[in-house]
Amino acid sequence: MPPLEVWQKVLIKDKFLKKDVHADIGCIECHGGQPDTDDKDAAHEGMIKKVGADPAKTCGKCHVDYASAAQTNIHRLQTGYQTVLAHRGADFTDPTFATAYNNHCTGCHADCSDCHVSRPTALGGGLLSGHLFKKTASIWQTCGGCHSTRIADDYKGGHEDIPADIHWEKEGMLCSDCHADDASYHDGSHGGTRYEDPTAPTCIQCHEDVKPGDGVEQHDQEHLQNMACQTCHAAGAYKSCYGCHTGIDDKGIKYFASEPSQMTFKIGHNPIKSERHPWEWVLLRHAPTNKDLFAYYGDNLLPDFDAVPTWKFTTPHNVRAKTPQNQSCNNCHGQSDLFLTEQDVTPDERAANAPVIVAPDDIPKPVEGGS
Amino acid sequence: MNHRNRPSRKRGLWLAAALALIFLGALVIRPPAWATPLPAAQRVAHLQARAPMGAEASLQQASVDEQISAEGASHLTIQADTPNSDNCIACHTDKKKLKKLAKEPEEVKSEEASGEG
Repeated sequence: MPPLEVWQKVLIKDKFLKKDVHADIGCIECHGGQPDTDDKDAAHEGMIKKVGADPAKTCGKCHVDYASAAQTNIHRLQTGYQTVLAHRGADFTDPTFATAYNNHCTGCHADCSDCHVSRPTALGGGLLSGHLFKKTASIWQTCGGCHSTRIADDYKGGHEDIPADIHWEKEGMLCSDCHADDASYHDGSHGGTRYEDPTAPTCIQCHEDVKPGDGVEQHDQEHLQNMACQTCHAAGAYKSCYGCHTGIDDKGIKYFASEPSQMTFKIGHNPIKSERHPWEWVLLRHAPTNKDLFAYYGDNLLPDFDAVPTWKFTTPHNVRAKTPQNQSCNNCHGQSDLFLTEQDVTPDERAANAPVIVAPDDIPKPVEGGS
Repeated sequence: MNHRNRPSRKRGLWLAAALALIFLGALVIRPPAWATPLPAAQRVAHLQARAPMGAEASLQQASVDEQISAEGASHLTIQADTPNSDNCIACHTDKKKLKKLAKEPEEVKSEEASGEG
C-alpha cells in the first residue's frame, strides 16, 4: 500500500461534508483547536489529532455502548501482550517494567478511529478516505495495515511461491466475513489473548460438513480430533520473527531491534490445549521475543520467561484445500523437516519450548504402502 | 315547496364554492406564516422566542420538542452547541493550500532500530 502525500493525508472530501453524518458535528467538537483564526499554527493550538484515543469523550457521546465496551477490548488495551508478558513474570506494578512496556509495546494499540476513519502509522498514517467513516474496516488499509506480514501477506499471496488463501482468491472474503462478531473489536469482556476469545471464528462454523465419512480419506476420526485444520490446509511457509531488543539510544530515541525474519512451516505440540483448541498437533510460529527483551531497563524483568513457548500456536491465513503436505500420507508422515524438533530451537529457548518440541520418536512414521 | 327552494340553494352553494376557491388561491399565492412549514432549526428558534411561561407553556413546548425530536433533534442540539468549523473546512478542502502548508512531522527514528515491526 503506497504512502499518501502529506497533503492527501489531511484532505477532507466533499462527500464527507455532504453525506457523512459525522460532518454535522463540526471539526472542533471532536478535535478541539481554535475556530476563530485561519492561521495554521494558531488554529491547531490545542488540537487533538487522534480523537478516538479517548472513546468516551468523543465517539462515545453517540455510540455509547460501543465506546464503553471498546475501553477494554484487546485491540485497545493489547491484553494479548499483557497476558503473555504476565505469564513470563512481568510485574506491571513495577515502575521499571511499566516504563519499558509503555515505551515500546503500546504503540501498536488501535482505537475506534484507527479502524473506521484513518490509516495505521505503519502505512504512514493519514485519513482513509477524506474523513469518511467506514462502518467495516478496510481489509488492506486498516486490518492488513497492522496485521501485515503475518496475516495480510499470507492472505493475498504476497510470499513468493506460496499461493493466496482460497477464501480470498476464490471468494474474495474480507476479514469481517469470518471475524464478524469477534469480541476483539468492540467487546472487552474476555481477557487474555485472541485465542481465548470465545467468539473468535472456527473453520467448522462454515465447514460443518467436514466429518468422518465425508469422502476425504484423511478426514477420519483420528486426524480430525488430533490435528488443527491448518496443519493440513496451510498452503506453505509463513513468517516467523526472532529476537527483539528494546532500548533508548544516546539521543534519547526509543527503539527496538529484531533479528531477520524467516519463512517457516513447523508442526508441533499444541501449547494452548482447551475445549476450543483440543488438538494435539498444530502449527507453530516464532514470536519476536527473547529473554533480553527489556534488558536495557533492568535485570530479570521477565523472570518466568520459560513459562511460555517462543514458538506459539498459530493459524496462518494461507489456507487451501490441496497443499503440499496433504497430497499423500507420506508427504507428512516421516517428514521430520515439517516438525519442530530440538535442533530448530536455539539452546537458550529450549526450556521455554519444551512443551511444543516434537521428539524424533513422536514424528508420525511413514505409512507402508502410502503414496 | 321543495321545487321552489332548489334554485336559491344552488346559488348559495356556488357562492360558497367560489369564495372557498378564492381563499385557497390566496393561500397558494402568498401563504400566511402559520401555513408555511419552517425548517426544523428555524422552528426551534421561532418557538423559543415566543414560548410563554408556565405549566401550559411547558406542555406545549414538550409536545413540540417531541415532534422535532422525531425529525432529528440530536442534529439540532449539536448544531446549536458546536463551535464554527468554517476555517478548518476551508483549509482542509483546499488542495492548493494543503499542498503549500501541510508538512510531514519530522520522523524520529533511532539509528539502533532494525528489523520488522
